[in-house]
Amino acid sequence: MIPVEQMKLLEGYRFPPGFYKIEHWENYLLTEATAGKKPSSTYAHPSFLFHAPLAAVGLTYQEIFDLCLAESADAVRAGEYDWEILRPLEEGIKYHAQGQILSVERKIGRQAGAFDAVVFQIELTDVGELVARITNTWLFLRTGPTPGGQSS
Amino acid sequence: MNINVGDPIPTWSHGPVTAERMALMAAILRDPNPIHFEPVTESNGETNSRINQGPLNVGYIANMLIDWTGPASIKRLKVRFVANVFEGDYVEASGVVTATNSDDGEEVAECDVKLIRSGGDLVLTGTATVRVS
Repeated sequence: MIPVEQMKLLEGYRFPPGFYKIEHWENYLLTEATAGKKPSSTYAHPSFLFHAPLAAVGLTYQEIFDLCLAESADAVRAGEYDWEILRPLEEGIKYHAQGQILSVERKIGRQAGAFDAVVFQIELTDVGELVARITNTWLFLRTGPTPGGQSS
Repeated sequence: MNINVGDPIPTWSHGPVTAERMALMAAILRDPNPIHFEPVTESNGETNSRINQGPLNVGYIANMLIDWTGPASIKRLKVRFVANVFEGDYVEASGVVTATNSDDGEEVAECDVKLIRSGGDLVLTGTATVRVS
């Protein structure tokens, strides 16, 4: 199993700053995927708060999996999302993003077994003004002997 | 909009959850995780159902809130994932107002929210803050 000390080295890792602009077509399609009502304004669906910040800092899911030493793509689970929205996201605005990995914690779940809970925080700004702050926890399932950890 | 503590949020229901919508979300997100689009046949011949993406499950909660208070109303959404939603499931988002207050001149409602799937299993639980003025 990947030593927890190795995972702890990720704490404080800063993502390269970048930007993301939500296009109408992707807002339409993402809203369709959620079975929501079709957009009648330029407001973007809130679920973009999962995708846009990561895309803005230039990370694909595969790169996140690699960064966090995922054992496989299907050994990754959602843990918690905390989305603070100071202003609703809109299509066509170039949002700037910066963020980091806040913490990494090794835990033992009754069903999942050992996993690493990795907390990401990314802020989106528009002309220097904070628009949204997302704090998402991803779970990276681990296999093999579990030398220690905290029950989830 | 007159909101009081204890008011239920009108429920939002959807189903069945389809593989097509999961595939669409995977493409939009560039999500390579095969659990969302590639059914696996086990050695016993049984096929695992695809698992819905977390952002879609949160999206159902967002849809409920948007239908209730409008597309620009959500100020905060905090959720914890408890279980998975599978293709073929039916889901229901619900919530209740736990507090009302004024924030920078805006009337806001604090709410408990949850998502349940077929059979009544809890999938997701959390809190939301929405503008109601």
